[in-house]
Amino acid sequence: MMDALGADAARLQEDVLIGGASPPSMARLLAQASRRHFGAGSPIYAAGAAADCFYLLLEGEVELVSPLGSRRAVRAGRFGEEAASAAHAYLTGAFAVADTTVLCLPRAAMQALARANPLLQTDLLLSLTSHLAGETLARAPLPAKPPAPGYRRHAAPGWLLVIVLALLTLAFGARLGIGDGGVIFLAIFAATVAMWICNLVDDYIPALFALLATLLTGLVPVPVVLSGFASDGFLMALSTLALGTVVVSSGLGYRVMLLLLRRLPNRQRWHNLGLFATGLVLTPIIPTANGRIALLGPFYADMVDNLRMERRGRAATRLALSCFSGGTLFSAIFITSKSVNFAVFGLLSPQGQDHFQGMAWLQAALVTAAVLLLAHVAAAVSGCRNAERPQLPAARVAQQCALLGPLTSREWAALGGIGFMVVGIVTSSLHKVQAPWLGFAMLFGLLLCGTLDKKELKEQVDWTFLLYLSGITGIVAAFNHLGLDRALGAHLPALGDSMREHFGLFVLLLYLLINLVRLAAPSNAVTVILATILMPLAQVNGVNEWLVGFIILVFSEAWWLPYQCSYYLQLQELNRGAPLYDEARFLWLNALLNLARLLAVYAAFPWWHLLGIR
Amino acid sequence: MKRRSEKIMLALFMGGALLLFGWYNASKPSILVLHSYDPDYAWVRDINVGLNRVLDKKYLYQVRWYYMDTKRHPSPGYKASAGTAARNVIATMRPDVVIAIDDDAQEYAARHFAADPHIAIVFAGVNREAADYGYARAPRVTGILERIPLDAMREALQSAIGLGLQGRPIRVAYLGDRSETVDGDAAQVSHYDWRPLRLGGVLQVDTWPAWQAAVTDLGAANDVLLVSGYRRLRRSAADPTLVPAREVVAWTEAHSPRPVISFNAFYTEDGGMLAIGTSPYEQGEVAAALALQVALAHRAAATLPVRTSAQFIVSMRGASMRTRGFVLPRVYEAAARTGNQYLP
Repeated sequence: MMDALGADAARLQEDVLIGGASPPSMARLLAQASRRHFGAGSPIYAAGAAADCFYLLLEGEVELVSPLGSRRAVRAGRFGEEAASAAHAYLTGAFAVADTTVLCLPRAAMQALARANPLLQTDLLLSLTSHLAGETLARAPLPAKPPAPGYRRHAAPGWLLVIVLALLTLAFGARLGIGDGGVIFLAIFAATVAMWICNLVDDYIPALFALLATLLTGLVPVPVVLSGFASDGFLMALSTLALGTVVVSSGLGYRVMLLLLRRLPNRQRWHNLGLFATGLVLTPIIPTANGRIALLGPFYADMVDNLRMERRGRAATRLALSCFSGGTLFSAIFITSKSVNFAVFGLLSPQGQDHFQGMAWLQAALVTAAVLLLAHVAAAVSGCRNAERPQLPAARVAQQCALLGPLTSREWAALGGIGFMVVGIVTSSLHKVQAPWLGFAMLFGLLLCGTLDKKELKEQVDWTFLLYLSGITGIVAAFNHLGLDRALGAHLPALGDSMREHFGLFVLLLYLLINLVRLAAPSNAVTVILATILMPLAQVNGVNEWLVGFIILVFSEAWWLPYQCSYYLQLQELNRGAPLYDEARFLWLNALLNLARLLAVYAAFPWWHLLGIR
Repeated sequence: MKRRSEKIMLALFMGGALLLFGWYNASKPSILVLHSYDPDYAWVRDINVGLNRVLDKKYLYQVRWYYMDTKRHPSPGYKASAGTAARNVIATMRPDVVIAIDDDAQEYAARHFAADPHIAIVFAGVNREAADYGYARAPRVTGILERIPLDAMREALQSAIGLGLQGRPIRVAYLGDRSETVDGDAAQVSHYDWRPLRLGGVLQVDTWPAWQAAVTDLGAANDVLLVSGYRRLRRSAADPTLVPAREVVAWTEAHSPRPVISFNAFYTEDGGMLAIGTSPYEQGEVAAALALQVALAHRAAATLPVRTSAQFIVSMRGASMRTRGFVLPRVYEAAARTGNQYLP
């Protein structure tokens, strides 16, 4: 018995395709395998019979017979591959030429194996094709994985820094004059920040570490450290992520883009406006810049091709800038346009959250947005002057729209969700329902109507971000509970004074600091770290905490070199091989827009003064 | 793919963090707060307020709470069973300090560990004598005794406007149920020197009809009726069901011919007019402070003298005071309002 089982296991491992499956899959498969014996000349299965088993030849000889009677010997000792595919019946018959023993693997087991090993289905399809073709056909090997990104090389020293920073804080933190609890928390915070800055793991993992360590040490009551999971920001983020998922997966975003280009005049400036406006429309709906660029990028490449723009020419570069700015320039302007905005929102005091959860965020950001828009227009017009006269093939766009057909029910549902939120927020003074509960109601509606199904909710909504958001909200709550915000204010009097008395200078210093730190640290980490420290400090010094958080968001979006910006890398990917735009010119124009961010903040000072935000 | 050096550093971080947190938690002293009653009981709730005021740095020690719930289940069988369970909790947890609150916690659980060389006991809310539980010479026991504020009560009655105008001493009587706590209260009332007032009687009853009769009789023969515990009154001699506290107080306030004043501040929450009671906050605060002296400062419990309650609180229901025409100097109302114990 053991010998037979051992032989069966060996046969499974020996097969080039099946043996490549993961060890747990193989172990499960062995439990389902059984031996069958067939005498010489006896049929194993007939063409058209239910494909209920996949076979591996142990002894003997088997031939496959096509419906028209042509015979082929099985290749590589396996047959009945149809059982691992969506086909329900065998394409050929199979019979034993000599006394034969086979290992029979049931269809359900093979389907499970294929699900767990995605490439196996393709390999088995090629195996089946090989039988029919009479020659071995195989998949080309996958390209080697690219080397680890830059930060990975610094992982070991990064972990060392995490350990050393935590230990140093534990050893010398008491000199800051804060209590034991504060010192322990600062050590946890230092380790968390080091993990973020060194980009050692995904963003949400350090936040979870901070929560776990705070819970284990009992530094603050459990409801305080886990308050992020019950916050308004959590529900708003969840609702927006869900709506963004429906907008993208229903195809509504792509339809909007086509419609805009179809309706606008067929001239270069309108092409740019169309692409820019599409990005702008998508900005408050799709809460990740990467998601928006993923949607806009391929369309940009199509447009450059179809408009027959000069490769690396100014017109193509201008269009690239419009595409990129449309999707990213206003990330800080709408609360729902970037996940980290919710993080900053979560750091606001309850009063601040009440005030800025609706249209107030957008209202306060309007002047900054206007200046950024003007800066973009100036950069696109003056930096990319050209004499090209590209024409979009209107017939093709019309045909694409026709192929999309009428709005599907999912697109209607996505539109309904957007309309519900917009109307709900605009009329909130009448019905008195807060924006997070409106978002929650919209999410409930999408789920109830089946517009967003369980699988999408599980797989498409970025739950790791929600963990991240809850984590940093909990970190700040613990920070404040332990009185570290007041201690920080007391220990950084110069910074507090500068914030209170010389806000303009403070903004300039903040801009320089953020751009310096951004050379080494990712945008989200910089935003969260600085917001965690500076927003409570703002409150202590009587400066509006939203203002500081918003400025951090605007500045953290600045990037000078491609590696600093993950969503630019997506656009850059389109430019590899046969470049579409002039990257050097694009980067220069982007640098000007970075400077415009500082100008946009200064220009908004009178507006904020008028709104009483200071 | 992680490099070998990264794996080593990651393992170092994880191992170090686990060891650090493990060591930190293992080295924390542990405190068990063992209540005789249940968390919904107002007295317990307010003691917990006092405890939490002092035990506010939970990262320095572990605190676990256990409630024996003997107020709602006063049968001897239940108490014995709750005591066994509480002793098992102590034996399993092996806390550095047990803060045992009220008499049942001493009687059924804490006193069994008075000689344990590794567990210190801090008692609170004890109406009887510490020696009654074998704590007199125990090296690892200290605490605070609960004594009803008799001086404060006498002063209040003397200052009540119109109460002593009959040309004879004010006569007071005391009524309570037959719980162990009230045994202690009754003994204190009996032994107290009430002069210039006169104690007209001390009575403990265990049934509702007996309570009703006593309220009528004692009220008729005295100027003021003092009460403390009334949660252990059986519906009748044949019916062991406990009469709800609010029902007892509502009836008593409605049928007593004389003002009724309690030694428990929660009396007004139950519907009563006035209480001048032992401060539960003080009981909690002092017990917690003593426990921290033992757990963190490593003081031997025996070196910390047993305290006696010194604070009292006033709780008042304004409408009942006006209806009854019972007038106290304004400072009493101010005290009740300041302590958030004034009901309009």
